[in-house]
Amino acid sequence: MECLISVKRTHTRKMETSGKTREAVLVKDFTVVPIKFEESSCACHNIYFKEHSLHREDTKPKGRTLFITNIPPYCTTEVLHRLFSQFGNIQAAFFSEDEKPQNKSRRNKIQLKNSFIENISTKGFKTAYVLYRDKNSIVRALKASYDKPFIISTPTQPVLTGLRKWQKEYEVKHTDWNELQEEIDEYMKGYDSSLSKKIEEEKEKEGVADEEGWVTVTKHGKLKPTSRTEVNQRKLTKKDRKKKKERELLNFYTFQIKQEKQDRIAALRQKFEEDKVKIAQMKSARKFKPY
Amino acid sequence: MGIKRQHTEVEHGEDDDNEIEEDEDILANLSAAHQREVTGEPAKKLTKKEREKLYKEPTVEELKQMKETENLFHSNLFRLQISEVLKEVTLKDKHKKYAHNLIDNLKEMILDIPASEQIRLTDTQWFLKQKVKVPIYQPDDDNKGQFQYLPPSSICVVGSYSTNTVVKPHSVIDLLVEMPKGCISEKDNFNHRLFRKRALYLTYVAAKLNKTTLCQAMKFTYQHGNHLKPILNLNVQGRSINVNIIVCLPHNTYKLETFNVNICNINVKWYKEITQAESKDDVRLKPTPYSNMAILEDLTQKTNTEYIENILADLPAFQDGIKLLKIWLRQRELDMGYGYFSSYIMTMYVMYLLSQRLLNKMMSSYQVFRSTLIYLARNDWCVKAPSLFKIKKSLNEKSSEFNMKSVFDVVFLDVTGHYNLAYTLNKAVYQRVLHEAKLSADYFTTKPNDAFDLLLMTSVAFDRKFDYCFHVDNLKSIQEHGDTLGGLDKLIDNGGNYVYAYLTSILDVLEKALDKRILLIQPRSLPTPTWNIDEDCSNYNDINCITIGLLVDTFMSTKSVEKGPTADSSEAREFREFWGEVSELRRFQDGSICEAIVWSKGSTFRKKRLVISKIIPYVLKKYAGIDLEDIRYMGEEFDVPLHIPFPKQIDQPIYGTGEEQHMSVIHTFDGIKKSLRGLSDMPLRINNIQGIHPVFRFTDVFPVMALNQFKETKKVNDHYYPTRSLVAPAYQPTLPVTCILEGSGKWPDDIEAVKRLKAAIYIKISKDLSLDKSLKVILQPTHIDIFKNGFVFRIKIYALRELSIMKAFVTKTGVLSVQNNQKSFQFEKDVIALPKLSSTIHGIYQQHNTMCSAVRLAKRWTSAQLLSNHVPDIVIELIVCYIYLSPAPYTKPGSPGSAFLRFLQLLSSFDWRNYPLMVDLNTEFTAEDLVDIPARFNKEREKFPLMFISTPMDKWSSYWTKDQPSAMILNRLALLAKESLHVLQTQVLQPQSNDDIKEVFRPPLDSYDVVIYLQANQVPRYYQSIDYPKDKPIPTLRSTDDQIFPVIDFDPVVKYVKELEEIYADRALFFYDQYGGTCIGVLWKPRLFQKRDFKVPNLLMSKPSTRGSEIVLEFNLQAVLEDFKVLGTNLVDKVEVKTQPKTDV
Repeated sequence: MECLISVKRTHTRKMETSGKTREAVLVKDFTVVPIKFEESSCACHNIYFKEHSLHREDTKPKGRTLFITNIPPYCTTEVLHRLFSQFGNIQAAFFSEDEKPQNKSRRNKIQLKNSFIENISTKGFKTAYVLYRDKNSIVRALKASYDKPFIISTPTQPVLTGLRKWQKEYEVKHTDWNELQEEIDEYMKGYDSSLSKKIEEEKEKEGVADEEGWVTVTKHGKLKPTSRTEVNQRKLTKKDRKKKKERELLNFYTFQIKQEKQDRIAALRQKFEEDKVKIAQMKSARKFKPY
Repeated sequence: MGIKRQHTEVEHGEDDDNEIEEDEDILANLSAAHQREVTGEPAKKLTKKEREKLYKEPTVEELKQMKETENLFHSNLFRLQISEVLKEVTLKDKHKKYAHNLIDNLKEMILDIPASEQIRLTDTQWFLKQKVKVPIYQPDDDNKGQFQYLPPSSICVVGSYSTNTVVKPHSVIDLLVEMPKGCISEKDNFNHRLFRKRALYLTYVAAKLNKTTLCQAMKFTYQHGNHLKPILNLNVQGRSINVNIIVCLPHNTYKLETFNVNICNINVKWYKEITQAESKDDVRLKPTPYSNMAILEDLTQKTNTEYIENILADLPAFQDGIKLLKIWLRQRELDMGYGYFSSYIMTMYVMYLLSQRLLNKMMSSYQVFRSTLIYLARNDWCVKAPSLFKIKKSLNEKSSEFNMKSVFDVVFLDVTGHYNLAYTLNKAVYQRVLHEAKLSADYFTTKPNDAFDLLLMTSVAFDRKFDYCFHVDNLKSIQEHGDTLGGLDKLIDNGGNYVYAYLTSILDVLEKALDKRILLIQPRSLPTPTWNIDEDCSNYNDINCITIGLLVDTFMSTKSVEKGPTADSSEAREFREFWGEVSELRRFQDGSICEAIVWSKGSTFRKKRLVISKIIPYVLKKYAGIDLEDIRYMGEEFDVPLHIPFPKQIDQPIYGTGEEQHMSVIHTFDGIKKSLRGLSDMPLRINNIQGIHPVFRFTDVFPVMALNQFKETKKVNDHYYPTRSLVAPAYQPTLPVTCILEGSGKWPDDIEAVKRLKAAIYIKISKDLSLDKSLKVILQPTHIDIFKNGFVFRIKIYALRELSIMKAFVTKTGVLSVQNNQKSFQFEKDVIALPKLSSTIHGIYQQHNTMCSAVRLAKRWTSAQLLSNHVPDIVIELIVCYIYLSPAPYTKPGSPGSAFLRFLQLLSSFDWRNYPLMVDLNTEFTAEDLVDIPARFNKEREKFPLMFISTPMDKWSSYWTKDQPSAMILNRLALLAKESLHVLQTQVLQPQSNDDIKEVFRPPLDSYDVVIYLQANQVPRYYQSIDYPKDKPIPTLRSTDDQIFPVIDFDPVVKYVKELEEIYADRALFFYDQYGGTCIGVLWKPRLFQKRDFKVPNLLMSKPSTRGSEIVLEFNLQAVLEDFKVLGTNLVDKVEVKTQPKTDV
């Protein structure tokens, strides 16, 4: 498919994809590289990458970071390492969803902690960043010649998908009582200390007036205030309304009686109108054809 | 009085030429606002003008109208609805005009037909020349006598057209052509000679009319299906008007007494075939009531018609009321065919009520309709016969009524007092009318909001009405059993039609045999044959199949032993005689020795439901000589999709259709409950333990089987794991159980801390429970799994405090407030609503024992349509609950089959856009709820999901349908339901030998863009699939007490589909069947193949392409298809592209 003829084309290389000659190009700053799952796959995805050029961040320093998008879902960071290390030393590679490079030590603990947190990582086609140690690696990566598509799963470093992957996932599940207890204790310790700290702070404020003379009242003082919740507030307004109603007279003045009659007729009319609308609606839905 | 007259004019101005005017009349004077509504302008807030309109001084006219509505109609809406439906069924004026001309033309033509020469009665040669055949089938007889055609003495319009009660679309004009006296000779009343003359006369008219060009299609048919009385049906080309030409005997030729019920008008000798066989009996002269009545029908026709016409002429409200009653009858399929409740009988009944002053002339159409139904429901004609005959001169007349009763089951005397209007009416059919009237009369009070729809708009089809039905083919054998069924006389009297003659007797025997097992039995109306005038007349012996419907009592019908009277009682003899050899003496548990019959030895629900299917063939064989092969009982069919032929195992109930398996799971669960409650020194007590898996509420399609895998797994440290084998390990789902802890103020305010504390409780529980050797506990941070008796229960505990923590937030002003959010909604749904609903559904199941199978059929069907992941199971369960809780206009379904058909009907026809489905669980909806919920729903339609189901415990939140199904799925569901319903209806009502209910459980695959086929071996639930190969073994399931934890929740198909949905959510939809389906349908989202600009957000799944000279992106189809294979490595067999996508530029 001889398709990419672009004004912005700066660079052209020939490459083989599934038997057809095809040109890999830089389109609008992006280098387009075909990538396929394994040697025998017949169709390729394209990954697009360019130098990361958005605002400076610590994790993605300018000049050393590669922005890569449209990475197939089965591609892992290990694969990214393998694919891009050919152009230079990689400091870190991570998907934009995870943001931070993973800390590999204490993996078991982290997994335990994660099991408490709902898994929110999105699957699908991903975007990733590769941080090189050296600025030149970027240039190399962008200018290298891609004779062949990237291969994700190689015989030496296979990527598991499908049944094998699910089987593997199934085997990982396991929880040890003691480890779990340890984690709980640790967390609760932290929680308790932060809680007592908060109480201390509140106690300190109790009864102390600020510059304008307002005194903070907390539940730790001698006079406990009613808590300011919605329920309590509603109770108050309800009381008010009730009182007001008790004072009113109903069906007392002639105008009230007349008004009531009028209201009744108006309500009837209103209902009649509504019914007509309903009928019109049913009519349009051909509701009146019995069979 | 003034008011009422006014009303009738307004209501029934259909004689007005201008229909629009009438419309406006009815919609009355407040039309300005109305016009605004029609043009679609939103009227949300009342403007000052509108307010003025609402509050203006009411006119006298308006007050009148309002008062009328209040007094004469049920409600405003009802009134408007009635006028709409009447408009729909009433003949339009232009049609009337046309019909008028047509009648005049026909009259003229018939009067112009010249007299013929004399021919012999049996001579058909003359007619053959004219290319017409005589439409009456009589044994070759030696009927002497001559026939001569003479011009008719009168022609007039009778029936519904003359009384202005025609109901479209089956509008026919009955044209009565009276034979002149000269055609009849003295002794014609004998031996059906009158019928023959009648037929000859009709044939002559037909032959002559055939030469004119006016009428294109001329056909013979039978009057009310009566094969003795042919009529001519004319269809005018291009018009939907049918004219029936009915030849009638001259009304004053015979004294009516000649045809009294106890008079004989047929000589047995005439019935030739018999006389040869039984020559000794030839002298007997038995009365011939049916033939007599058929003649009286003609002779009294004029009197009766005049009577109706005179009364109805100036009572338009009654005309409308009768129209409504006709619609009511037709919706119930009760007015067509021989032996049915014709609309003529209905009209006469209204006349009767009027003559008894039970109706009065002031009544509105609504009141006529309602009162007639109520009187119909209250009075049993079999007990007290209604009679239009007024003057009872002597005892003699009374005895005629008495005589009638001894001959006919149902009696309704006409104006003359000689003719029984209901002489053909089948008793079983009458019982059905009574049954329907009783149901309908109640709807006015119990369901005032839906009454209109239920009474007039919903069709009560035979297949959905009856729980079971059976077909009897090859009826010839009945003839030989004539003696037990009513004798030869009856046959002769019915002119040799043995089906008509003996059907009643057969039904009686069946009714007696089935006794309390059934509530109602009714034959389906036989279609009245029509045939071209040059064809042979249809032979009544051609009727080769009758269909009989049964409404069963669900508890009585499943009794497998019929207990008779005690052995020494006097009834024992009768019992033995009735049942014959199957009756035997048995000793019962209470020590009594009784006559009894054992119909079935199996104890599964499946077997029990089939008891009736054993009784019917036995009785039919004994009394009517019908062979087992000729009876097709429809009922078992619906068990097929739920049945799995598991090999019988020790300690396991027989599988049947799975009801028993549910119980065995629940039994184990009870043990676990006990262990959990028995836990000592828990920090907090467990208040509530509720299983939320469908199996706990008897709605699991294929209930979990006790299981311990040993095949296709590997064992590591007392756990089994899936292996790389070519076959998937057996599937064992975990059964979720929700435990709610007692309330406590000591929970922390931090949700993470709550989770840790709960985990600590899990550790405590699992430590305690592991002391019990009969079960095995696996601890996880968020739940524990308990393995017992081969089932795995997943226990999750909750504190209600969690909910308030989730909802709490502090407003800007510092007030602690609560707010619903995604998480709290989910919590309410899973932890509070689902357990409650679960136990409620379980409760409903206990009242309706067929519901279990019905729900599961419905779920199986939905899943089989590849909608497993698009329609939540609980939604289907709620819909089936609705069918059981609000069965109107039917009664509660008594078989899984009828419930399933009604489920399909509901899905295919329910208007989700305009109505909420109100599932009245535990009948907790108040009357206000029933009005308010639909009203608010209509007002704020956008706020509610597409499919809105409201239950008393969940009136507004619609937990179950909030996200699914989508509009597209809802449409598809309706479409599929319609198709399936159609197929099943045909299978139930006209069964063929190659019918297969599985047909509706096979998904159509041609509508998908791509189909992914899976390797069946890797689909663990493949054995549940509808087309599981018969020769393939069902995976052996084994209950063991060993302590190795099985592979749980491991279904690669589910995982695969989940992964696909996560990755391609915005590109495609995936469809699969969780019950062993081996293919996954893929539909691309619309506009996927459009070319897109080269921008970063568009890069995903794309490949570069060109649009002119510009570089753009297009969907990388090939790579995605490759992905489907990669993601499902070892599971996917092949990916097939069904439709090549169109790339539009």
